[in-house]
Amino acid sequence: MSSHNVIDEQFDELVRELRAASPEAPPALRERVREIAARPPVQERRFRLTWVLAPAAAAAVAGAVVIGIVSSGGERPEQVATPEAGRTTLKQADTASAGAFGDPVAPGKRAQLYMADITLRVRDLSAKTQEALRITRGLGGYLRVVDYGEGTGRGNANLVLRVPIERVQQAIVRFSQLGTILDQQVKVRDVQPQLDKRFRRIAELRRTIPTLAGDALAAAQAELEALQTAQARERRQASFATVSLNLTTKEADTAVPAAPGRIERALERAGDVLTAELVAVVYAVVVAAPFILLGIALIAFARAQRRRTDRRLLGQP
Amino acid sequence: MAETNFASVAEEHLDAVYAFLLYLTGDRTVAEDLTGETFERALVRWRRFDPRRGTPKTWLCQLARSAALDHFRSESRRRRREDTYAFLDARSGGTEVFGNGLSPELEVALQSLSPGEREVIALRVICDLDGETAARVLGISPTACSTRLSRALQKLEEKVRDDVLA
Repeated sequence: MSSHNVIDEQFDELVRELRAASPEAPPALRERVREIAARPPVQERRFRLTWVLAPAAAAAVAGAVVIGIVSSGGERPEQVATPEAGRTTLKQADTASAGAFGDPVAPGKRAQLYMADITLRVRDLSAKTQEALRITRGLGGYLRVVDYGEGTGRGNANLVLRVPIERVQQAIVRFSQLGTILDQQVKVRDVQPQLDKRFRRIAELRRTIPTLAGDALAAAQAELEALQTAQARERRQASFATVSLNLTTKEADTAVPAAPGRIERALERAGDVLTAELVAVVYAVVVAAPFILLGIALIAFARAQRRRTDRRLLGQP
Repeated sequence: MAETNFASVAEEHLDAVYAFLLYLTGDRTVAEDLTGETFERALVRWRRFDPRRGTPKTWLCQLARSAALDHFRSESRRRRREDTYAFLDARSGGTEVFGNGLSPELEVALQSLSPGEREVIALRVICDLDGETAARVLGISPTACSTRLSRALQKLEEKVRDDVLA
């Protein structure tokens, strides 16, 4: 038994007398306490810091996730509009799937000049060059330019291919399967406004030519012929996409990172928002720190003061 | 179940709580009021009682002490004086306060002690709490509690002896 639990024997008689005369609660008090104990238990309401902090933290995380999802956009990769009107540039590299190359500005009914630039790393340059040509012909396209170096299966080959616009997506998918994509770019220029303008002028000339004579008639006919030629040429150009295919056996100087998926983008942005929230909290804590310390000091002082008061009330030194 | 437990705990420890508060305040009426208040508080906080942290008796004594100190503070503010008023009130009554069958000398000697001295006697002798538990209730170390008890009993014994000799 601890020495603190032993009462000095010299006080035995005193202790016995005190215990023998130990006061008992009067019956009225006993009854009152029984009544209290018979009451239904009361739910004590106490303020807990976690009641504030937990919802605040949950709201911060939920907000970050929502902002991340909303700002991550859809499945499509980001399009960057250049200052040049009617022109859209898409840049993306994806070694996994050519399908991810997407169809952000797919050639539809509008006349568009579609240009794709693909850089691939291949193992056998010669075989892959031949295969690219076969793919092009198979899709109804043709080779416009070829720059094929070394010819030993290693080095670089640059091919400029023309592929029917309606089959360009299929072509890009198949080209992308020839090797590892190091870079891909697509440029689409809408030429429909020019065609429309030219069409209106041709229609106007056709209406006015029957009313003309002499030099004016000759000039109008010459203009009409030139416009029809240009119109036909541009329609032909728009009916084929230009694919610049660069094949190389060399490692890329710097690998182009894979474009993140939507979930990755959402998580990344949610992380950014959370970081910003954390910075705001840290800032608030730093600003509030002097006041918090002052508050703690005041509480400590109040407690010490209270202990002193208690001692005085109990008649202790 | 909690309700039943509280009722049995209240029944079992009512005398100890009352005796402690009587010794602390030196006034039967105040002790009764504070006992009721202690059990009111206990009922509200019963769900927070953790048996692993101490016995029900210890917990009730802590609540009782807190209630008594609150009472002392409010009375102190009201009366604007710093002496141990309750003790003076009780002594001025001249009736038996601290128990049934105490010798008059011991009764007077107890009244002459300060509330702080009486509370340690109440916890260790009347409520029969061990040294560590009583120290925890008082918010002091077990050594300080032991010293305070010895001094209080010594003082009590001397007072009794003086009264008998007188």
